[in-house]
Amino acid sequence: MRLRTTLSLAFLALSLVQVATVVPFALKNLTALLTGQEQQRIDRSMVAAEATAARKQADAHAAMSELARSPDLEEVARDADRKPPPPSLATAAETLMQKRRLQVLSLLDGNGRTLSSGHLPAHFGDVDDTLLEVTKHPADAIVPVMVELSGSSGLRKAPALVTARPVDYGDSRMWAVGGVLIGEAFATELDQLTGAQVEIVSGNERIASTGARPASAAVRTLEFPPVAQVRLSFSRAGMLATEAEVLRAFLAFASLGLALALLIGVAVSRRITRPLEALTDASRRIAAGELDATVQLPAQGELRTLIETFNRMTMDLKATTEKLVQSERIAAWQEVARRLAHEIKNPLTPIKMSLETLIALGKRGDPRFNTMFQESAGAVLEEVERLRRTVDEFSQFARLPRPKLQRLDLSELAAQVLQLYAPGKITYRADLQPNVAVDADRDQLTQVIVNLVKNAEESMSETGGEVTVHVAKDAASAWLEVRDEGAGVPPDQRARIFEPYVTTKSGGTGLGLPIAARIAQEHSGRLELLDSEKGARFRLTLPAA
Amino acid sequence: MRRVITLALLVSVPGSTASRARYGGTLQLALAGRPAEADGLYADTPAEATLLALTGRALCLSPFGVTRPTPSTVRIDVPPTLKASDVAALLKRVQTEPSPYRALLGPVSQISVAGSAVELKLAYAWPDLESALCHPALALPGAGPFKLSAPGRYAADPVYAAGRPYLDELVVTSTDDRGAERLFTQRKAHLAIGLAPKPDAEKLSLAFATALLYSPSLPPTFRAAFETAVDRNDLVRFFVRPPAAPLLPGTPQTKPAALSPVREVTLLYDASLDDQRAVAARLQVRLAPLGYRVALKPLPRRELRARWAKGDYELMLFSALLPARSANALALVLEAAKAQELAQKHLPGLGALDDEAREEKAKELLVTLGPSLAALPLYVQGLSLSVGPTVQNLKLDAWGLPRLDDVFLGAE
Repeated sequence: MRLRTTLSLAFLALSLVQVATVVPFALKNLTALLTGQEQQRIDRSMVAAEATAARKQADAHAAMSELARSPDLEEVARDADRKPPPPSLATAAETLMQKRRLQVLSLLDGNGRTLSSGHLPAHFGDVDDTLLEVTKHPADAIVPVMVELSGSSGLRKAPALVTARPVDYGDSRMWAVGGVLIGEAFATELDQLTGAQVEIVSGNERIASTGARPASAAVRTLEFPPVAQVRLSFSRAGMLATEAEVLRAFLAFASLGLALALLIGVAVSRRITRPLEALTDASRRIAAGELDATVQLPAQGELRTLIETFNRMTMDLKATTEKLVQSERIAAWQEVARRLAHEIKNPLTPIKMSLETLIALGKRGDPRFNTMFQESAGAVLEEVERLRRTVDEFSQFARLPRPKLQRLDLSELAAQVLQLYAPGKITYRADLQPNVAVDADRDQLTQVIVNLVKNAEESMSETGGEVTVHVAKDAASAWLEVRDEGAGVPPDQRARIFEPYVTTKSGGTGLGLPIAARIAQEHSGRLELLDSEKGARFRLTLPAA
Repeated sequence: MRRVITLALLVSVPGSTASRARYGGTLQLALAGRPAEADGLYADTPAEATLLALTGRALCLSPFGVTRPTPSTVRIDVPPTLKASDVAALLKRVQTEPSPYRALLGPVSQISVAGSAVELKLAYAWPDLESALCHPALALPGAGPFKLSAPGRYAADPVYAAGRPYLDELVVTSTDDRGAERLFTQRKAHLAIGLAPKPDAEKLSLAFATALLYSPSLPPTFRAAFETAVDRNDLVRFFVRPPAAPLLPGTPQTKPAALSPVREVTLLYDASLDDQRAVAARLQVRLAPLGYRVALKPLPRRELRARWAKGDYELMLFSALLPARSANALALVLEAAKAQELAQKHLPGLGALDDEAREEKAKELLVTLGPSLAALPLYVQGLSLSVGPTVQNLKLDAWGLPRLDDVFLGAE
């Protein structure tokens, strides 16, 4: 992974650690804060609800106390005492109830018989055991009871909070039992006061309800045992929505922060790594031979020192390399001259000796002169031919022409070369992968293949064997291998086998492999001597087309 | 079915000193309550019938003339100011509309217009048809002595065929009980209708009957359950506006066991009648211990009659203004209880009897057939009337309803 990428990711990771540490902690604190506030709100609402219930009971209490003392009730008691009672008695309780904003009012005689009922006028004359039971409680007691009401679908029972007051008239005692209903109006009032969804339940029956219960709610209850339970469901939707909103905001800001951290990281890492990349690039170019490569980037501090040092080192390297090259060139020419002198000198010695012998024989008039002349002439011609070959190869080695590149099939070329060789003592095996395309000079490449096959053939000229030519490729390269089963290259010559005038053959010029190597080099490839258990194994590698 | 009805045909109401009739003046009438209907077929409460008689006219009264050219034909002569076709259309409507009053024209098989008269052909002898034509439900609208000039204001028709009324105008103020009483006691109203009657008030006719109709789908013990649970005297005394009287059952019943499981029934009643609302609530309470869960459903009167006509009810409070003659009343009762078979069986025979025998026989049949009808009689009501000292010549018709067209105002 590149340094720039590593540094950028490091910046990002650092920011991520901070976010991952802060956000959950902050959210947890926020949740606790919101929950606490919600709880306080619910507690306050419940206090208000309980106060409302208490107020209603107190109002009923006060209304009933006032009723008990009022002349209206005395008048009703008088009517109830008459025989028969007047018709107006049946509706008297209804009038009294409405005037005092009560929701339940029944006037009972001492046996519990209804003299008049405000909440159920049709109950006239019937015994009401439930309300009669209330008269046995203390006068200031508010008693939860189930009262009967007329509904469109039939009589129904509803919870109520009632209290009883005695009314004495003459010798008879009447009871006024009245109060308020725990019903729809109460539920609505609590709903408006607390904002909660209110449900009034009596046993298994739902008496009243304000809307649907929220999906997520905190439930509190007001108990009116044994007749009713008021359930207040405080929706947590608001709090949950706030939490979600805050979480979204946190995540948004965190994402923004991470993005900024990434951008800054990329910018900073770029600033840091750019000189390093330039140095790396320059180093690569220098390694590729471009000794003029320098780094010209503004930098500060250690990086600036590094760049300046690198540039100085580069210049020194270039100078040194040039000197070295010059020296090597001189050394190489000296070597070539030495070798050439040696190669030229070798044939000159027998030529000179032959001529000196002939001169001596001629001077003496030796009868062997003609015979010796023929032998010597033949030897001289042979040495001259040898000189000529040496000069030709040297000339070729010295001025190898630039390759004329064209798209070739290496396998086809190898097959064509192999066709020049007839099997006999030596057999030729081809292992050629089809369609191995290279860009090369046909003549030069043919010369290389011929040279390698000829060397392999000559190494087995006495013993015979098999010459194998293998052609293959991969995505980047194509190669041709020539293997023989001859004596191979002696170990002491392996390192110098591609130098001019190094040969294992008697009569060889020692330029074939150097020329082949140079051709390979001119084609951006290489020629190698590979290890082999038996014989020699040469591989020509070229860039694939 | 027994009923307590005092028939007082054209009874003069005391409380006014006799003086010479004189034209003019505006009679102020205070009405406790608000009449809901103006159509004669549906305006059958005593107060509604009273007001409707100002602008409509019963076919048995002048200017109409009712004769019987043959025993099976009744002829109604229509004055020139009115159309015979209107009378015929009214009678045909009575026969076809969902109303118990079609029983009044039960014997009529054909209605035809003959010049300025309407002829009614009878399928069987029915001497009481002329009496039936006096029923307020058969009054011809727009044929009365007054015209409605504005809401609550009735102006006398100066060219009324039977002679213009003495009064110039009659003004009706609808208010509650206290308001009506206040108007009357403060002498801002000459007449008050609907106030609670004084203990010494004249015994007026009670012709507006209410019964509880029930569906045959109810358990067979329903009648017994009702009779043992509901006290009609309490109903009349505490839940119904006076003057009223209970319609007592003929035979006592044994209290049945409460139904289990509870039977849910719906009680339909007239939404415009407070008395029916109170009675319905009372029935709801009294039937609950016997296993009946009664749902109350108030309906407009027209819708109530339509449901009655189709038999689409489980329980229904049904009120009607009973005819003066018992035979007509029997026909109406059988019609209301949907006992068409009994009507076809008994009514033609009744028509063949003489007046006295027919009256007795009809009363007997009302009693004997009562237990077999899907109807429980509850009570009858009349119209209470408070008359000021200046009101003169006030008469009551066969239903105990005041005839205001002959009234005049005397000196203060």
